[in-house]
Amino acid sequence: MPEESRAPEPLLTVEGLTVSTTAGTALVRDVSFTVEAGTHLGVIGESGSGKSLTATAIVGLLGRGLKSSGSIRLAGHQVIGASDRQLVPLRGRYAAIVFQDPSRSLDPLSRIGPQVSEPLRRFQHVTGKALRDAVFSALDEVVLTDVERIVRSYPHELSGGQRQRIAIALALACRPKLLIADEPTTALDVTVQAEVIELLRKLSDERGMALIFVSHDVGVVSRVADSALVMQRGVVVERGPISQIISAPTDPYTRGLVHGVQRLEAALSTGRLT
Amino acid sequence: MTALLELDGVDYRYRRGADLALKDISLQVQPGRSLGIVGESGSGKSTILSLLLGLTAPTAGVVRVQGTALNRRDRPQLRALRRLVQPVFQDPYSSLDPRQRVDRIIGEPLRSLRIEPSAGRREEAVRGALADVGLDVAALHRYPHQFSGGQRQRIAIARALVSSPRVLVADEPVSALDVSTRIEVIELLDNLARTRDMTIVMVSHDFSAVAALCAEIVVLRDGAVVEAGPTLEVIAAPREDYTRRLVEAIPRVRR
Repeated sequence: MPEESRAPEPLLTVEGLTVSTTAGTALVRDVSFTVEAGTHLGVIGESGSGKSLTATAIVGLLGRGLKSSGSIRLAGHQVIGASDRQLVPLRGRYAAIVFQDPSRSLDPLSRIGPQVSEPLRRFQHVTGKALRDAVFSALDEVVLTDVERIVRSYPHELSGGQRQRIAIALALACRPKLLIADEPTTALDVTVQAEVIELLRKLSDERGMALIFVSHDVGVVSRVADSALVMQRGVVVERGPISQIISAPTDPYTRGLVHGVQRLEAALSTGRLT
Repeated sequence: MTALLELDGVDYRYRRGADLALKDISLQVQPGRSLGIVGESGSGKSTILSLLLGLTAPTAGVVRVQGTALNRRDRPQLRALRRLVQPVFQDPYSSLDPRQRVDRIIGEPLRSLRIEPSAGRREEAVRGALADVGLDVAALHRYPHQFSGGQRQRIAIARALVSSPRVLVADEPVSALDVSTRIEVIELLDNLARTRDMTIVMVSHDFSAVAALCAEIVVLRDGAVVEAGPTLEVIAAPREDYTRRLVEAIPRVRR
């Protein structure tokens, strides 16, 4: 009898995830996917597709009034039904999230230095000079210049791009195995958006960190992800390698979306939405 | 040909602002040559629109309306400007008064500009504008919250159309919309510009929308014009480094 080698469990396994309002309206229905360590998954969807709810459910951060059912296994731990006390050690170490609005990750009343040092102190157990060095290297890593000034600044004194880089530094501070980026560049200027995308690619490659990149923008996702899910009205309508989704979409909604993006791109050279 | 609107050597400084928000801006809006103004946040794009709409006066330089220098104390001239130029704002969720029915919203410019004293003809103009943006007459008796984002943007456009302006000034008219809706609104604006003989001045960070709608483009950075010219030429062969960076940063689909 051939020896059976059991494949190790993926870093993240989502099975039959449903997110509903407490009133019973399902906003995400029966979503399943896996993320292997070190891979990059795109989640493409327009407004109301449930893409952000799916992302937020993975770290158990759905707001009040929403409940999830099904199964989300993160590094062997069940997220659905887990208490906050059980979830806190999972967040940061296994999965961290970066939001569209970096202010959601930052405390407006506290300077950047202490905000970045907090998770480093807690997870890497460093203090004193070593902690200070760790803060600087964490901010260096997200390519912030003028770090001396930034650690003394409050969030409102920084640009949107700088705030998003700091939110990324915070998310990375605990060396997560999975980074979930929920429309992280939508609110940014195009040049800054391009830089942040490049940064996320580079950091995830260097660290072998898995990435879930959520966006409405097929172009942006194609620059980051190896494979992708397309969501519409709470369900996954298509999945596969990103190249295949772009070159040979099978679902009518995906086809329309990809075609639309291609028409917009064509206008750049023809001046017409052909 | 006399420009519909012109900025000539315009500086602008916000009250108590240390730096100039706009520095020596000159640009012209020629009839039939829609103009796209691109730039990143803080580049001064929206301030230019405020100047073109006569909502604010330049610190230095001249704003010309059909060849005549604009004097904001000259009320008849300001009213003429309002008839010539109408705005469409960025966020269709906040730019429509939620307490007003759609017929009131669309008809507002006719009342405030005292263009059409006859209630019957006002209603006719409102219905005409609504039909032109592809909405059903049933929409007239509903409220903004009963519509999707794309439909609200159509209502905002109908409101701008109703007084038959020559120029539509739009601040990021499609950036808050999903791809399919964005395309529909771009097509609508393109179609309206042709059929109603309107020229569009549009601020956007979306080069695709500008390329689809505007023959001319101005690239702004930190309150100054970096580059200007025919849109497709500027995108295909930017002369300035900054423009090249902007164009390269467009997130095109990787195949």
